[in-house]
Amino acid sequence: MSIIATENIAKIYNMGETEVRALDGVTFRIEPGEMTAMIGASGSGKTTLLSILGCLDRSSSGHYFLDGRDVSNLHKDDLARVRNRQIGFVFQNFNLLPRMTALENVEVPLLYGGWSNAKDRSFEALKRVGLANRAKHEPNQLSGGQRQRLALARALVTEPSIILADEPTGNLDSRTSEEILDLFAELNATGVTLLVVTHEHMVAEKCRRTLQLRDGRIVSDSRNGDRQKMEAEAD
Amino acid sequence: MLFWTTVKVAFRSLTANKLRSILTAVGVIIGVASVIAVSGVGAGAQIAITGDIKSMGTNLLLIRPGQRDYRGISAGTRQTMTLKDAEELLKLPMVEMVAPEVVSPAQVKYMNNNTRTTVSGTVVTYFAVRSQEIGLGRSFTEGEVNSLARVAVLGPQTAERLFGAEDPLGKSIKINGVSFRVVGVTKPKGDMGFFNPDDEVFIPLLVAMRQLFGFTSLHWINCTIYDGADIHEAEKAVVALLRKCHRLQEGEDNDFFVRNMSDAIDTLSSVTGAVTLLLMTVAGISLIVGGIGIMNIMLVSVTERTREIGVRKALGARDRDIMRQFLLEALALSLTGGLIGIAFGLSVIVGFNQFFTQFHAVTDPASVPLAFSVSAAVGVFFGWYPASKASRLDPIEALRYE
Repeated sequence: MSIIATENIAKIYNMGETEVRALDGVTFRIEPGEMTAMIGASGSGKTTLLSILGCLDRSSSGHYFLDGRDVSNLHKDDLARVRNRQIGFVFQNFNLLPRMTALENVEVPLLYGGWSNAKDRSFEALKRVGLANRAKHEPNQLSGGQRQRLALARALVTEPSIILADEPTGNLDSRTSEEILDLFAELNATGVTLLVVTHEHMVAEKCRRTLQLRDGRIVSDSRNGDRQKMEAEAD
Repeated sequence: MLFWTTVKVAFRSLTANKLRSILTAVGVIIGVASVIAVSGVGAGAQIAITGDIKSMGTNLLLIRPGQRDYRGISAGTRQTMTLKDAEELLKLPMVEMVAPEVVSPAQVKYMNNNTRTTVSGTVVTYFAVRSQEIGLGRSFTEGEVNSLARVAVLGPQTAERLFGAEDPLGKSIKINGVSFRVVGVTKPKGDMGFFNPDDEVFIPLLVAMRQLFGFTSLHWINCTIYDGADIHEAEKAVVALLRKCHRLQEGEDNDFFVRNMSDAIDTLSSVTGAVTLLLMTVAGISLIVGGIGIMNIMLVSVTERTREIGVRKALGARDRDIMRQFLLEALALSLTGGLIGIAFGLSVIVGFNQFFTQFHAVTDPASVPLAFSVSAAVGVFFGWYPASKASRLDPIEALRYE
């Protein structure tokens, strides 16, 4: 069963007289264990799509199945529960909570979900991203790379169906970006499904599959192996 | 688990802006402190005032002659109240003791010391009727009253003014030039405001009436009723009797006034109660202002932390989780303010009692939990709107907020 399956998703904003189609019939699937990049110029609709996939927003029409369940028309509170249980977010600007330690930051989704032994789980998650020795540090005492690792630990801790990363390396230098992407690949190897929204080709190259968005539609869906093969053939 | 973490987070975000939080709480601190202090001082004043009156005896009826008026213009006191009235009153079954009295200001002199005070001509029972205890020496006797002996009992202030440290007993004083022998001094009772029993000279009734001032009628009849008798019933009986004695026709106004002390207590209590209520209202208004301060700061806080709210929602917080977080924060502010205010108010009461001796402010034990719950209510009431505003934020817009 696909983790994500969308059918003809559209998102229409009414700007007074004019109608803006941010998404215009998006249909695709993501299978368990995939690490997919989504690229597209700004205004292509990738942020809108990510919001809908992350259950932060609802589509105007079409259907969105998460783990086989149609979540297109759920109530606010149910969407919150879906975000809590099935989705992990990694943001460009980390979005860690200030005045809370690394461990407490990781605990937040567990507390909202009413999990037991939140501390132990959180510590495990910190270990997975290599931050076990930073558990008592507050975000502003961490480097950029460490902050993004921490954000990743927070996304992982609830064992979600998929982790949605929005420009995860956008605020990092290239060496740290590399590190984070390696960590993504490492986690993917252990079975974590990832969708990375990016405009950097270096990031897309690390993913095995690339979806390209333009004007609210998916215009290409390529396996990186294919592209390398294509490029090789072109040579 | 989530609850305690939320409480912890609330306190942390308050301590992150210490000065701001303190300034915000000041409104509630002042409000709560003044409510506690005002109610404490008010209750103390009430106890003191009613205590003073009770010390005269609650089973006391005071009768004085009515005002004469001529076409609506007051023309002095009527002279219809006589010793005969007093004798008749004593025959009423409910009446225990009767003490007729005349009063007049007079010049009192001992050696070179001079004072102007109130001289009260009365009988032996007066001291019992007015709960006036003798501190030094004795009161005058029935024999002395009947034989028109020139003896005097002094109020402690008068004694102090005339004799200073000297022992007044057995000394001779002059009242309006007539010599009297001091036989006793009363115990201090405290100034009652409208009269001062400590600055008075008591002499036998008939001496005052016939020899000193030449009065033919009484100024007061003090009488007590038996314990357990209804004071209002007694008052009615007294009125009926006096009307009969004075041969007043049906429809004619009383030519005397009767005042009973339990009504006086009620009146005074309601006056001090009203004053206290007024001051409490002012204090309550400062609580409301404090609450508005909390609301204001919470609105600022919600705006500042829009992105945090977005993140929390992305991580699975429901609207009500966000609502609870901000309500708890407002509550933490107002309750902290409330607790400091309670401490502050209580120390004002302690300080008041250090500096003022007229009466003691008291702490109503109910006022502490009351102030606590009022500040909680202020937090919830004024925190509600900002919290609900926070909870209704759209997660996407909140996440994008810079």
